[in-house]
Amino acid sequence: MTKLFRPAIPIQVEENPDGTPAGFLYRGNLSKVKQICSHWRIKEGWWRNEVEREYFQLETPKFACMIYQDLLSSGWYLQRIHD
Amino acid sequence: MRILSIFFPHFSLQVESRVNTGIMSQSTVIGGFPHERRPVFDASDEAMACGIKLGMPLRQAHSLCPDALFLPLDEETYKEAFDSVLDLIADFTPKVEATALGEVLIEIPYASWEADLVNEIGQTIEEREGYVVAMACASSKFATRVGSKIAEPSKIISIPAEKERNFLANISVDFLPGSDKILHRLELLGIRTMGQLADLPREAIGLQFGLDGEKLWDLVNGIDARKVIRGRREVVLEDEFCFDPPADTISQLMSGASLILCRLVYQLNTRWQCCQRLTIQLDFTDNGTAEGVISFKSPISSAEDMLRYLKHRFDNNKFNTPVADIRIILSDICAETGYQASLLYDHHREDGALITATKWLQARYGPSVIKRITKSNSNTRLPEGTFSFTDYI
Repeated sequence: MTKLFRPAIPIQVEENPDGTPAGFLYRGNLSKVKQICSHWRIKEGWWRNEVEREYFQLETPKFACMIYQDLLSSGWYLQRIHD
Repeated sequence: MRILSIFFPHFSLQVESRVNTGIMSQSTVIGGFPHERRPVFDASDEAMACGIKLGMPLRQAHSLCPDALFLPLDEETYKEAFDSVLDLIADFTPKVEATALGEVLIEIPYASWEADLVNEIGQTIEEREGYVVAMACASSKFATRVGSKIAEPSKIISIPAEKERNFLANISVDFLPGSDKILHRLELLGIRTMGQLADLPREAIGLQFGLDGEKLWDLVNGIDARKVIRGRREVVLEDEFCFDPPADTISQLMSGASLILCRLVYQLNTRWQCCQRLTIQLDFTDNGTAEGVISFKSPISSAEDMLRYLKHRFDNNKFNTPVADIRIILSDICAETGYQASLLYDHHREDGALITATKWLQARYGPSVIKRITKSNSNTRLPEGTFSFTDYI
């Protein structure tokens, strides 16, 4: 089962020097990133609502999740949690 | 029924300006410091003139207006300040609804009081609390809220009954409580004012935007029967029973408590609510008093369950003096947490149980509580765009 957040939840992310996430704050708990399983970039809608995001599929000690960075606003968001 | 809306422009800034005088007239951003990964909570008009918008990342706000004063967010202080305003308003009329921080709706009990009441409330807030407010009065919630947001500070807009449609006609559709998607589609269709939307047939709006669109059409046409909901203050239910002659046995106490709880639980049940805390107060014949608080493990709404907790409490406390009066207060009122319906215990009855549960939920919480997940046909790669919710009929 996965829980898709719609809209995605803004989160605070601690970044590695290369810009990848090292940990993030969710519900007051800091979740350290154990492993970045994959990451990809989506850029679309430039003709209407421009969207440019960098997605990361992550594994933390407690759960796996998908977060993304909105490259237009630099904000980080939690999109999906895998049980 | 007439409703008054009081809007406090930049409420958090007004609160901050009590300590930091002069920030209202300069570029000020509330939310945190520029290096923090937080959104803009509020900003002064000067800062917004530079392009800063609410919700924008602070870094972006700083790049747009580097000279702005950035203040940390102190939500607790703003809430306390707003609570004291609500206390002040509650002295005038009991039906007060806090719709958001810095926004209050008040039901005016009698139409003839309107002018006096509105002036008095406005003056009292400005004189005692020192806040600048904008106010509007109308017969519908939506029109009065929009009115207060476009009213100039310290001014009052009074919208005559049944003239809401005319009032809203030239106002931007941005004030509508629709989703970003609906507002964007309205923009694509060239519908910029509420009057343009109101002129279209309701059926056409329904076809384009579904039930949400029809609701918006009702609002712009002045059709809004929602009432002011008394909110914010902690709701407690309380009742008391006098023993004559005074009760000197546990069974007498329990019978008195049972009578009170039956009345209180009836009120809870009519509101579809539960409570998490019960306070019992006893007045003894020698003028002594005793008070006990019982916190339930989970929210309950059954008199029998509450009596069981009470019996346990009484059994553990022996009273030497007869009790003259018993008072019970139910607090921490909350919504029912619900229970899981058994749908799959009998395969043949599965559909029937699902339909029954659906009807029951819709009857109780409204038709929009259940949505059907529809796979979207668009070729988007965004996870949230792969499906949409539609009404389940």
